[in-house]
Amino acid sequence: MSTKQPLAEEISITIPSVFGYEEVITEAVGSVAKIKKFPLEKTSKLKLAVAEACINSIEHGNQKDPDKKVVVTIRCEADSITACIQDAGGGNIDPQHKMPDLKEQIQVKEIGGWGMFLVNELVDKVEIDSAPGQPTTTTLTINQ
Amino acid sequence: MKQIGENITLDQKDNITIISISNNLGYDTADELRSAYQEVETDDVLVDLGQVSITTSRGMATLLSIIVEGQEEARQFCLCNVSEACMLIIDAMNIMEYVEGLEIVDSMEEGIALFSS
Repeated sequence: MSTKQPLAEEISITIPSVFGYEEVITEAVGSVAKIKKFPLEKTSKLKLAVAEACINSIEHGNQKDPDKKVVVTIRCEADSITACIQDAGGGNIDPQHKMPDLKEQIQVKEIGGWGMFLVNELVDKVEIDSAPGQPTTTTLTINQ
Repeated sequence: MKQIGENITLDQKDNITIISISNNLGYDTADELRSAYQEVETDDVLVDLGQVSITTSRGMATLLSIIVEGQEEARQFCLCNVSEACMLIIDAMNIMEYVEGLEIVDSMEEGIALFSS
């Protein structure tokens, strides 16, 4: 007799490449995490990481072209939530996420570029699938 | 009280400017915050983040830029009502380690009392 595995629950949302719409995604992620009874701190971290990844896709992946879409798929497993953020392709997302030198940034007064570093700090797993001319997919996973 | 853009208000109590952010600290609000700071005339600046439930690294970077610039002009800054989302970025970036003299308090009243002491 085989044990039946529960199917993953999945939703997809498509947003235009316009700043502000990333909040639609963070609200959805927050709702899903609430349904799955994830701890509040984990939920906050996932929401922030997803917002940063969406902004990267809007700004660098799709060059803020509102006709280009960002597709976000939120997938729930038994003890994890995964968010896949995919841009339309042809952009330039830097997969590096090294710690920015904040001391130097303050000295030269050029503060920023923290996005991918933060994403890496906030979630349990980050995967970036990127090839020239192809859509970039950033997959973020947080475990319960 | 003066409204700057859609999401920022400037208020002054005694010699303290209170910058209140009434929306999420995203891209647009970060630009408004920069504009609002240009109008600050006092040395003591209290930033109320009570309505900021969602923030972005750009929003927090803009806030940090303003604080660093202000401190060079001998301004003192205090953040109040800091949400969990903002604290996640402050902690992840070790901001408190690099920005000397920045105070974080629980409420606006505490911030005003801090500057008044």
